[in-house]
Amino acid sequence: MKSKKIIGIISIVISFIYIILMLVFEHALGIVNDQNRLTIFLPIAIVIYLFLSWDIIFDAIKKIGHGDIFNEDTLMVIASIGAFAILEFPEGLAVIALYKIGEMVEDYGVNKSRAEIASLVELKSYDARVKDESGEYIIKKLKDVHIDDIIYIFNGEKVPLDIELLSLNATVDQKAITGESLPIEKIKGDELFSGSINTSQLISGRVIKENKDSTINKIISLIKEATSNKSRSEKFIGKFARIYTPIVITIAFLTFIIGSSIPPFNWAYYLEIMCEILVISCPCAIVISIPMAYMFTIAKASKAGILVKGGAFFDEIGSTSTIAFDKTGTLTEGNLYVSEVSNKTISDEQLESIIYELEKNSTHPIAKALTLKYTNNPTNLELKSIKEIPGSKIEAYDIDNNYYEIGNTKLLPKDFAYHSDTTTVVVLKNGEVLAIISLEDKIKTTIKKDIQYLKDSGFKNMYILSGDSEPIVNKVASYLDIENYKANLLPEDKVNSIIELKEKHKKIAYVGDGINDAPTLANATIGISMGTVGSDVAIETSDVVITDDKINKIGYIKRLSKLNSIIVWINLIFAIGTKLTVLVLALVGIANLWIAIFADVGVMILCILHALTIRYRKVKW
Amino acid sequence: MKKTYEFEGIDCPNCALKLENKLTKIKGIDKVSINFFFNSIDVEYSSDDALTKLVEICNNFEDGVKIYEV
Repeated sequence: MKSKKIIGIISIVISFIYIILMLVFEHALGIVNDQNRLTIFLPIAIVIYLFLSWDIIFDAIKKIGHGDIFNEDTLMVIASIGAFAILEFPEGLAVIALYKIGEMVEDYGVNKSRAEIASLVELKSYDARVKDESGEYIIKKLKDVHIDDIIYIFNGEKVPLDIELLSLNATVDQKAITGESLPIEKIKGDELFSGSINTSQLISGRVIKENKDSTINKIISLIKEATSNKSRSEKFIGKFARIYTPIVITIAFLTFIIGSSIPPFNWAYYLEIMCEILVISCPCAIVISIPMAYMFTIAKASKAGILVKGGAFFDEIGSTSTIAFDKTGTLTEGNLYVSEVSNKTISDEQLESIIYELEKNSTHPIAKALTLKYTNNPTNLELKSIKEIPGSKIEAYDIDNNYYEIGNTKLLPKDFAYHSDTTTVVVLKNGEVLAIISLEDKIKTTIKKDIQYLKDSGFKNMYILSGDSEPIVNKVASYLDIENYKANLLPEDKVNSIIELKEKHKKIAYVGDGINDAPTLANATIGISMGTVGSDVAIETSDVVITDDKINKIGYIKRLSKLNSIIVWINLIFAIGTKLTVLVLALVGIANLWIAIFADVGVMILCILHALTIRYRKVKW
Repeated sequence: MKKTYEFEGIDCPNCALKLENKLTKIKGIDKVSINFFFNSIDVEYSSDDALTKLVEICNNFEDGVKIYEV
């Protein structure tokens, strides 16, 4: 501990000894009289006072020199000297002693807050290991490492940049990104995020993003922006602080001046009131504790892999009880696969050739699913004039001018009865059905439990919005116990639905993948994107980015938001309420300096400790 | 135009608030945002003189307060 701090603590202890002794001598033992008060107790009090307050007096003088006349230090010195002037020595010492204790608690809170941020920033790296011309390892600063460079990471080291894995496999800890410490297996070609830790042997990777665009730097900037992006409460505090202090100081001095100049010129009485009011003139309790609360909340969320763009969004999430989900990729894994082939009238090889040739150049998710199963052209079928008609089908002709189509069930002949609750693709030749292929999209494994958790966390109304057909969406909705859903939605329908639901429910959260549903995310009260930490589009358009695909984290963020709101509101009401109460009590003459000191320092200490609890409270997820 | 500085020596959020208020009043400074937890000052400005004035005010704000470019 610094010597200044030790001296400070000693002086505070000595002050309290004096205060207690003086109070006992005066009130319990009655041995203080007008004479020894001035000849013994006063000089001792002055010596202790100077020992206790010399640094504050110096700071006050320096600040006045800089033009900052009515700062907290000056006011406390005036208040304490005022207390001495009306012969209340214990109170005079207590003003400064408790003020200093308050400052220590404030420093503790500030240090804890900054340590929080430091632990996040620690996840950054500053250099990377590359090989020079002779094959020796050298360390290069990150600004000198470029895309396509190859870097090497030893066991236990942080991955410094986003890379494509060149080693056959690797195991990483992605805690910095997703908040979870589970070992993740990666294979050659996979992306490794900067900030993750290599828990396997030496690995090498090809740099795919420069340092300034790396995932960990993006996360850190988001958090920094989030702490700067002030919520309504924080903005209110800024404005409040600017007017509160001058007004209260003015009231204090006016009370003294006016009160002392009217008969019976009782200046001592009004001096005491002035001191009481000066003591509560600093709104420090809320100026410090509320931004601290938001900061701890933002940091806590980011440690769970949830990036919230600002304190204001926590407020909104806390008060939003309606949520709409995109289906594919959010509630389901988004990877279609062939689950069944029916009504097949040709051989497997013939079917494979037809489907492969039709779909091989398409980038549609259905094409991806089909070409996972149908990978070849065993019959050497030749197709020409291949044309993809979005939303409908792919068509082509073979050398004998047979007309092939592959598309949705609208292609089926009118009298062909077929019902399904899964995505269905039909293959036709000259208008006749060759095969009907059912594709499934797996529901995420823990999703049923997760949705229930969200309901328990406070999301009372739930909706599913999907472009898939009614039976498919219905199946998912009933499995998850979600009563409301809208199917067959085109992208603009999704946007309109969100706007409509927002009007109905006042506030609505929307959960999507962040890439394909930008406008919908933008129109929701809270746009939540999942699993897309790397995507600039997602970060731009959503208010909350969840770096993995765990739906239960939405429940976590709701609970965290409620916790934050409670702490902020209690601090605000407690601090402002107490100060105003003491102000009124002082003006009508029924307060005393002890009450004023508590209303200032006591309230500040409690508010800071209260905000600190966010750091330590366990919120389930 | 934008610029970011880092500062040291301000340990009281109230002081950071006071500094922010002071800096916002400089002519040529369009927006100032002091992030107390990250020790950073983000400035949007329209004249280089305003920046010089801003640096001067910060360094004279209180004893031990220094700002530097990132």
